[in-house]
Order: sequence, then structure tokens, then C-alpha cells
Amino acid sequence: MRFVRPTYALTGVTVAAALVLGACGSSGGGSSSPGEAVPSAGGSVTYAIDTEPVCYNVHVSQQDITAEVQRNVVDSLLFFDADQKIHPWLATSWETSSDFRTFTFKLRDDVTFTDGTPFDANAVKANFDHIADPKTKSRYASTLIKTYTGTEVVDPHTVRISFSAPSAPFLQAASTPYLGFYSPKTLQENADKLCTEGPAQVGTGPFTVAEYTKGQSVKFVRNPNYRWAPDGAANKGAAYLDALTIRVLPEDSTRVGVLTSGQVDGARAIPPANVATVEANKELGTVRLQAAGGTYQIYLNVTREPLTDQRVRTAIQRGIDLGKDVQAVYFGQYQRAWGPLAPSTPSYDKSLENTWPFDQALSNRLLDEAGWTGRDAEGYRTKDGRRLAVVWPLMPAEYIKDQRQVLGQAIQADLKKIGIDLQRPTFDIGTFVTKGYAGEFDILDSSWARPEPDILRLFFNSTSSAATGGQNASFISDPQLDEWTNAGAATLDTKIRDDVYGKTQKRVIDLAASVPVYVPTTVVGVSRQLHGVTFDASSWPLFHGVWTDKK
Amino acid sequence: MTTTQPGLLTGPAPALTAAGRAANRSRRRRRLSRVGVALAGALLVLLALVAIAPGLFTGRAPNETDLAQTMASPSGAHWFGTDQLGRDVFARVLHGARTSLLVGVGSTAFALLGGTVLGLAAALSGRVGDQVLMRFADVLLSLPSLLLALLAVTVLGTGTVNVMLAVAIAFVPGYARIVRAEALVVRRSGYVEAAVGLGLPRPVLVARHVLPNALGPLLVLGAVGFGTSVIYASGLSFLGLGAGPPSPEWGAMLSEGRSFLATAWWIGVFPGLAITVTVVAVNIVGRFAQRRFAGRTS
Repeated sequence: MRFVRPTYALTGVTVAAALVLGACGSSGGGSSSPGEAVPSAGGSVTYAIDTEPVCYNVHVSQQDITAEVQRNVVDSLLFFDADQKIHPWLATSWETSSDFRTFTFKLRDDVTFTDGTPFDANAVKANFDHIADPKTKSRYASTLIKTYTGTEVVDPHTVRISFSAPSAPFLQAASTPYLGFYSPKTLQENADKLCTEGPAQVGTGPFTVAEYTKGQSVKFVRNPNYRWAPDGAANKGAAYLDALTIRVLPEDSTRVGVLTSGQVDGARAIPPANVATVEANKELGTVRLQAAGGTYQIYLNVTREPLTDQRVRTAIQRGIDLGKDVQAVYFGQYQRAWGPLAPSTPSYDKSLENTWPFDQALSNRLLDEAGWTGRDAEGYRTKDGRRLAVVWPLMPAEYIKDQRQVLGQAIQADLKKIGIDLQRPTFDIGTFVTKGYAGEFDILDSSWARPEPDILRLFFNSTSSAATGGQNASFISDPQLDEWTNAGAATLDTKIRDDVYGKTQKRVIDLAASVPVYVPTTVVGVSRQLHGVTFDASSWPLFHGVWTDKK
Repeated sequence: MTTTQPGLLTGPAPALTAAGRAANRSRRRRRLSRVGVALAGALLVLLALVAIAPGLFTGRAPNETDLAQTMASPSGAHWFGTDQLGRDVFARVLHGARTSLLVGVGSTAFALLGGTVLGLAAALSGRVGDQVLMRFADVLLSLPSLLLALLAVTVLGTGTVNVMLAVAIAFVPGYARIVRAEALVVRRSGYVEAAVGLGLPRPVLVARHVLPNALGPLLVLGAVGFGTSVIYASGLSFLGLGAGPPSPEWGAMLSEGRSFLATAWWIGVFPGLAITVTVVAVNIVGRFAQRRFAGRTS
């Protein structure tokens, strides 16, 4: 399933943690100006999302939406703010061994799960062991702690987590909901129900689940005992809201409609075509969140003819008029990508920008050189009587986000102009995943949200094959890419990381292993009656500090 | 005799005028409906022409993008406007007619063929065969036919031909029942019994007498079913199970356009209208044929 991770749910480091929507502009309400607004408890808020998590278990699911919804219920050891600064959360302090194989955390001693179980070293151990247990069938969390060897309970409030290989990116991973904590009691008694039976789970978070209707909504109510918000959070105590309802509204026009008509207080994933409508509404504000992590890329399988020839890959890379295509399909709301990392990711290589512009003449020349000189009746290039065709399968419609199938048609049209037949058959999701993992397609596409350049290892390291839970969709095996991505994982030294990750980004483009297309972006629409909406480093909204004028 | 009872003639006179008015009305209605049928028929002929040679009606290519002209509203240059990639919606609707109609015709033909074979087999294969085949048909009929089509396309895989087959499979059990019923009636008719008496071999009997006489009502039903097939096929394409992009297909175009109903209605509305108009026209002609046929046999 990892190839189909619906990743348009984003990580936007660009959003200041202090981004308080109420402060974005004065509302037409005529009430006290937002700057003076004082938090007040009470009231309830409804937020519309576009897809329901397939699995609600953060330890299992690879979906962004799972993390976004469950952030209300599970807390993590650390908190990464929008500036990539680490703050203590459930851990008050931590130490890292020089080889990045051992991490020691001191835990808060005043935290309890909502079932009354205390949060302590044993709870941490139980959770990490659960994630690493093959029986959990984790699709993502386990890859964040891939070389995990165990957790040692040093004392009731100290744990030592060990890895068999350097794991510098673990600190960032430990801040994500995927490595969040369920009550050990839940893990023992209900682990098998965590995935499918909705979010009826026990964590330490600011909310608890009150009601769940599959395919429709989740209702959360305040956890009155909550007083362990991350260091630096504006609200130190329990959540202001009495209740938070998350409604699942997959149809774009419906979600926009309920937002503009005031039936919900906020909605994520406002389609680019509708942003203007929402912005024109005086009751609403919008926040544009650019994802940190992997850009939306089309990965060229370097092991398959004719893409084994780098000239053909470069021809594809340079033969797509990405600037115009992205501008047209996303109405100028999304930015064209220049590298495998989004600009807001640490160690992003800005020098790549504008270095490989659209160049149809170059593409044609490269294809001529590669021997694709013939033309068939439909105008496609041929060599030895064979047509220059590549297969880029389409996922079933329900998995396609961001109008990517339309963007794909623009790419198809561009490639046709240089004589490449880009074919897009549809497969059911099972076949798609099986064949995708087996490397039976020429091209695969995805984006990946994680504000950590270590994702370059996930996508371009030769050991990160699909078979081992990796995402190497280009099926590339390059000694230098391996060396650099491994080196990056063994240090937190910004200088070294900038160097090796910069070289990695450049080499991916040089080898034409992928074609970065656009920077995943989400536009969130929020009512001006809401205040205190902030986003974490992954640009997931945090409802703990939200209050509403509507009581 | 009548002259001796003039009251009988004068009495019903007012009733006659009322009946006459009613007759006039119904005549007018019939004339109107004839005009409707003629219009619908003409439209279908036109559609068939469009499907065969869309190039006669538009000079534009359906997949030609023009990023400088995206989402242009309907105008003299682009009658139906352009979509998000600047493709001409008019050209796409016209070129899409081929796929949509082909799937409609193809699936109806497959369904008729399959239904005829199964229905005849059931009617003529004796009690056990009849029971087995018809209970099988009952099982299939108990599933909503759209669901059956979805199931079939999941098993067969996506694509135009598979959608055609999937829709056909969904309709086969219904047609099989009708053929069986007709064949049973025909089999007991005098002329078949006579033919049996004459010692005609069974295959000849079926081919010369049973089949032609059982087929009439089926063809009419097929004409009506054609409309439903077009809807089903568009529905499957709407869900992304039909022809792959960028081929223009009405259902797929409708699906792509539905996000823009508020901002650029023409992208979704025109393919939607094309489906509606086609299906309504097919139904008008089909019902007309049905009425004519029913009138002839009763």
C-alpha cells in the first residue's frame, strides 16, 4: 500500500506555529479585534476532511489523514514546531549517543492515559515493542524505527531506546503521531481493533473519542485532565473546546459548500479551483500550507526498457512543460517543484531551481541520439519497428488526489509532442500494488510528507526496495546515492547533512531517476469565529489551543 | 331497425362529442408523439454520423491541449468552452460519442446474444436444464444489475471492451428470462406442433420457427435497454473504470468536470447533456417501437 499513500495531506514547515488564524485579518464581525481575543472555554467545532483513514491505528497506518485525526488522541515524546525546533513533550529531556544508536529519554511523571493508566517507561516500551512486532503489520511506523533493537526501562521515568544502525532522524520520527502512545492496557486488550473499529482508542491526548460513525464522522470530547501540552504551547491546560467533530466529506464541491454556507467551521483540502470562492467569503480565512518532505514526483523505473537509457529519461524530464502544466491544473496555487525535496524541508537544495527548464529541442535531440528516429502512423517515435511507449498506471479513482489524473493528461500531451506514447491503464488497487512492488511498471508517482531529508534514503537508497518496505520507486541502485543517504542518517550536523543531501538531490536530477512535478500544498479554509488554530511541523492542525466565538 | 329507435341515436350524441374531443386530443397527442419520435430518430441518426465521423463536425482534435486557453467559457471559437487543459469541450463531446455509443451498442448486442442462447437453452433443454439455468439467472437477477456490472468489471479489469462485456453480463439474465418465456409460448403454438408433426429435425425447428418468433419482443426490449447500457457505461467510466485518459468519454468527462460546476459549468454540463439527450432519444424511439410491436401482436 505504500505506493498509494495519499500524501496530499501535508507537512508545511513554512507555517509559523504562531499562525493564529484570527490574526490573519480583521473579520467583518465587528466584535473585538482578533489581537485582543482572549481564549475562552466551551463550544464545539466541526472540521471537514476529505478522506477517511483506511486504518485508524497510528502504529499501522501510513496515511497522513490517520496522523492528522489521531493527533487529537495521541501525544508523542517530542514536539517539532514549524521552525523544526525540538521541544520537550512527554519527554522532559533526552540524550543521544555519539553514534546515534542510543537515545535516552527522561519522561514526565504526571501524565496519565484517559483510562487512568499512568504513562511511564513501561508504557513507552510497550508501544515501541508493539510497533516493531511483525504481528502488528505496521506499514509505516516500523520503517521509522527500522533498526530498532529494544527499549530498556532504566527507571520508571527513564527509557533507553536502541538501534543497530545510526538513526539520527529518529528524534524527528519520535515527534510524529505514528510513534505516539496508546495505553498499554489498550495494546494488550484491543490491539486488533485499533485499526478498523474507528478511533475508539485510549491515548494521553487533549481529546477522547466520544462517537464514531464509519464513513461519516468522529466526535471528540475534551480530556479534562490534560495538562501536558508540548513546551511552548499557548494553552497549558485542557483543550478549550467541549467537543470537536471531524466530518468525512470526500466530494470536493460538498466540502466547499458546507464551509461557505457555515455548516462546518473549517475544512481541509480546498481544491485550487475553489480557493478564490472561499477567499471571497468574509466569514472565512484560508491558510496555504506547503508540504515539507518529498515533492510530488513521477519516478522513472531505471530497470525497464526503454527507461534504462538515461537519454530517454532525461528526454522525459525535460520534455514536460511543468511550469505551464502545474500553473494551469492548479490555478497558480501550487508551486512547480525543482527537486525531490520540497523547499520547506531541511537541507533543501535551492541551487537546483531553474537548472533543468523545459527544453523540447533537447528532448528531441536526445531521443534521436538514443536511436528512436522512426515515426509511426500516429506520430510516435519508433526504433526497430517498436513504438516508444511507457506505461504509467492509474490508481482507482478513489485514491487519486489533487486532480493528478488531469495533470497526467497534460504530461501525456507534452510527451506526445516529442513522440512518446505515455499509456495510463487503470488497475484495481491490489493489482496496482502487487505489480508496482514487483517493478512491473515504467513509471510510478507519489508524494511523501515528512519534514526530514532522510526520506531521500527511503526513495533512492538501493536497500530501500519495495520488498523491504521502502519506497525506491525508481528501482535505482547507485553507490553514491547509497553512500550519501546513509551518511545523512548518521548525523544531525547540519553542515554535513546539507552537503550530502544537496549532492543527493542534484544526482537524482542528473540521473533523471525522477521528475519532480509540484510541491504538495493544501489550502485549509477556517471560519473567522475560530481562534488559535495552529499547525505542527507536518502542517496538521492542532485543536488543543483552538477556541470559538460560537458557544 | 335503427330508424324505429331514433332516441338511441340522439341520446348518445353529446357523449359522442365528448368522445370525439377525447379522440381529437389523443390524435393530437399521437401526432405530437410522432413528431417527437421523428425528432428523436433524426437525432439518433445524427449521433450515429458523429460517432462514425466526428471529423465532419469539428476540425479540432479532442486531445489537443492549449494551456493559454484553459477554462474558456462557451464562445464562437469554442462552442462548448474549453476544459482545464484548454481542450475544446465540443470536440471532446463529439469524439466521445463513438466510445459511448459503441459501448451501448456492443453491450446490448452481447447481452441479446447471451440472453438468447441461455433462454433458448433453458426453454428447450427439458426440465432439469431449465431449472438449473433459470435458478442461476434468478441468483444473478437478485443482484442489482449495476452492482453486477461493477463486479464484472472488477474481475475483468478496466477498459472499453471490458466495460462493454460487464454491462452485457449485467443484462444477460433479464434477456434470458424473456427469451425463455417467449420460446415456451412459441413451442406450444400450432405451427410448431405442426412442424414437429412433419418430422422436422430439432435444430431446423429451432432456427426456422422458434427463434424468429421469440425474438421480436426481445429486439424491442433491446432498443430500450440500449439507453440503459449507455447510462451504465457512462457510470462505470465516471468511476474511472472505462477508457483510460486522455480518451474523451462522456462519463469520464462528467467526472472530471464535476469539481468545476461552480466555476466552469460547461466542462461537466455538456457531456452530461450528451448522455441525457442520447438516452432520452433512444428511449423515445424504443418505446415507440415497443408500442407498435405490441399493437401488431395483440
